[in-house]
Amino acid sequence: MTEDQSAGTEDGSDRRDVVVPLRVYKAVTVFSTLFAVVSVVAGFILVDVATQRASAPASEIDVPVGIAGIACILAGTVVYAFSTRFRTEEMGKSKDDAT
Amino acid sequence: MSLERKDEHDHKGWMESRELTPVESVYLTVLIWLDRRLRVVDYLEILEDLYYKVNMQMPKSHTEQYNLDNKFWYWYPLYALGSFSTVAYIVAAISGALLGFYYAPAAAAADGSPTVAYDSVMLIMGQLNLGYFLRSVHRWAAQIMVAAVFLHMLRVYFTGAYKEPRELNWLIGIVLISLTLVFGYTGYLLPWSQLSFWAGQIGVEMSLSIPLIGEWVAQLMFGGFTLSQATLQRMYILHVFFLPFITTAIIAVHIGIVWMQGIAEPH
Amino acid sequence: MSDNDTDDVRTDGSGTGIVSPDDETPAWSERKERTQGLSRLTYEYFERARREDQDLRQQSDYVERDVLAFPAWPHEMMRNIALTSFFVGMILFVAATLPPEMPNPANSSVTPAIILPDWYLYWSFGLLKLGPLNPDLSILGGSKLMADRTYGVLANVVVVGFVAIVPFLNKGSARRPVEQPFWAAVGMSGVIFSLTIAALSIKNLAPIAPHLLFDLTFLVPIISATITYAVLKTMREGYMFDLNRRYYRLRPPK
Repeated sequence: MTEDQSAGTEDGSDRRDVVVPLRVYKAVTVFSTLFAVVSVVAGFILVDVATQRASAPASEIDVPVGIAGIACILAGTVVYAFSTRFRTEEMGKSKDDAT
Repeated sequence: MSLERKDEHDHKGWMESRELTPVESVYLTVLIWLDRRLRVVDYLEILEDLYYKVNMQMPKSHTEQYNLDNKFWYWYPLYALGSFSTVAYIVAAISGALLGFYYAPAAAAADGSPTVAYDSVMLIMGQLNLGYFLRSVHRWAAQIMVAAVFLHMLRVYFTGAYKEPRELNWLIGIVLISLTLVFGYTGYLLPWSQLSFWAGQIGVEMSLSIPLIGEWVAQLMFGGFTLSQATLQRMYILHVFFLPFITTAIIAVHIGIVWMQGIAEPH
Repeated sequence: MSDNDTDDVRTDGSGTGIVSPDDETPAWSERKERTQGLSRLTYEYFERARREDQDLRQQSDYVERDVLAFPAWPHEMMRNIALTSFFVGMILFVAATLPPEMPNPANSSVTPAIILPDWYLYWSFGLLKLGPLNPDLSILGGSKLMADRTYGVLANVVVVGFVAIVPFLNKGSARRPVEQPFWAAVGMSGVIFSLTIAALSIKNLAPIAPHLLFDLTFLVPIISATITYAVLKTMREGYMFDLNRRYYRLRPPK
């Protein structure tokens, strides 16, 4: 990993890498993880409520709540996945950290 | 943390100097906005600092000292089995003391009708709040303690930790494992169910077949050659009075010797 | 890998005494040289904490306790406390998920099909069933010297007695099984025997013919001891080579 890497460098792979200051990196990691955990758990709770803990017959499933739950889970996933493109200075990609 | 306000990074200027997609800049702006208000990262940084400090100041365990981490990391829990049996013993002692408030070792008949002892166990399991759980904890703590003690013995054997100057502790350990088994056996008889009764029957026959002192042992431990109220009473007193005192004292000696001699080093 | 760190190794016990187990493992000085990103950050934390720790020790009247071997407190107990607290949680979890059953009240007129103690006494119970091994002496006209029951009780005494005298039979400073394949094999056969004899004690339940089970009870431990011995003998060469190399790195030959 070289020092002169700047935002938006695309080295080899098509994964976008954004280099941010350490403090921002920490904020991104903490808050995106927090948001992802909360929304995924909330999503599962919503799905549980909608399907009455997966015990309701198909006719009695609360469709809007169920979809809201799945949307919550997806939103959490997307936020977390989005956070992985941010890196701090001198930090390798997680896959080839050794170089 | 000092009260002095830290030099904040100029996020706005920094973000404008980078080529960020609109999504990225919104994402970062939201997270930085949250961070400015909630300051979660500050508290996590304190924890991080604490973690590294504690970790560095923690004395090395023998696996680190001898660089066994690489290959022997998975074996470390085996070195904790001694503490584990002690802790299981403490859990059993606490839950047993609570069970003792409700258990009565009385009216041991063997005609198939529930006796007072049997009924008191049923009361613990059926009526008492958390009683079923309490009995379950006591039983499992006992079972797990026996298993842990046995595995502890195997660990000591296979790592050669019984060798000079630790022969005495090995002998004390054998006494302790026997006491643990007797503990389990006397406890097994207390509910006075079918299993208890017939396990007691085996016990009487075993002690009767000891050469020379058999009858004397049967009288002393079981209060006669057939199972009766005296048997239950003696098992109870052994289980809650004699064995706890003796075992606790010997465990203290066992641990004290380990403390003085140190953990046997792998060479 | 550089070998220049061997100069720092001190044999008088004043250094850390840590030697890399092999050439592939980086030495501390090599790890130190990680200069980038989080690894550097981590290293700085470590160094600062270590320095502060050292200063604290020099200021205080902290004295290293002199023991024969590795101090149990706090070095081992720190980890053990963490592990055992996890174990306690496990006990509570198992207790909550698998509560015990309560059998019928005692009844002396109904003999249950299977009379068994708790599982941890199976081995002892199995030793009571060794009647066929009880020798009958021709001098006594084919009658046995002692009753089968007495023989079983004595078998218990013999087993416990043998375990008790192990430290007096096996002396020396060897610790690892590879250093003493024979004793490891003995231990292995003991472990297997405690399992097979437990299986013998529940022979009415085991899906094997009783005679075969009886023979297997003694054969399987011997077989496993042989295998253990052979395997450890084979491993021994490699281990000894490694140990020697570590030894000579600590004390280079003149």
